[in-house]
Amino acid sequence: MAPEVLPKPQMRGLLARRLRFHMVTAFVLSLGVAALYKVGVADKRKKAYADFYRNYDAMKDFEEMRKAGIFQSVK
Amino acid sequence: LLGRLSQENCLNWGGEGCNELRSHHCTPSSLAHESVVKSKDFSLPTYVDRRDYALPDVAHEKEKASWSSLSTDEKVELYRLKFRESFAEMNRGSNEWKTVVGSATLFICFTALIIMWQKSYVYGPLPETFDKEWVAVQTKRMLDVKVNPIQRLASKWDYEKNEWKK
Repeated sequence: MAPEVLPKPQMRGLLARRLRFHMVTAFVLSLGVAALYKVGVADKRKKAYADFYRNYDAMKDFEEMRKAGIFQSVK
Repeated sequence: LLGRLSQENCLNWGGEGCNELRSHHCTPSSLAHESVVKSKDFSLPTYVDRRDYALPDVAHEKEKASWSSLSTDEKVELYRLKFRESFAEMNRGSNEWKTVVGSATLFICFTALIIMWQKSYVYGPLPETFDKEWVAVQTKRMLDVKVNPIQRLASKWDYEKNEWKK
């Protein structure tokens, strides 16, 4: 070992520091994932349904299906 | 270094393991420079280099004097008497990961070859429901009944132009 003196490493509070880091990270990541889900999945889905039903005509839809020949009761 | 030397603790941690197992790593530190243990000398207390256990039982006379009076070389020698490897040495990385990655990839590729052989020589033909014509008729019917018109299948079909939406 050369005569250089290494700096004294951190001796105390190691668990506390680790816990703090992980608690903060877990909190932030959880909130982030929840926010991304709300925006990317939930809100997107609600918008898709709202847009679909805004100008939806059930009878027109039925007529299209009837002409395609999928029903047994009406042709 | 001196932090480890300063703690003398009489937990006989290594002792009970060695008595039963006679494992080769329980050696007095002065013999530890050789990799082969010549004699099992249980008269001295034992120790092992471990990152989580820093309190081996070996004691040395010089430690009992003031440590600032030791020269650097004496301090290193004192360290070596008590411990076989420094933290830097015992924590050194190795090239083992290359062996692991290489062999794992090799065996996965061998498995792939086996699966290819199975497809040619073991499995029978796929059912007719996989034929292109069958799938086309099936998809047309699904579009006619408007499966998932809001988010998935039928929502991607343009019913006016009779083609998939761009």
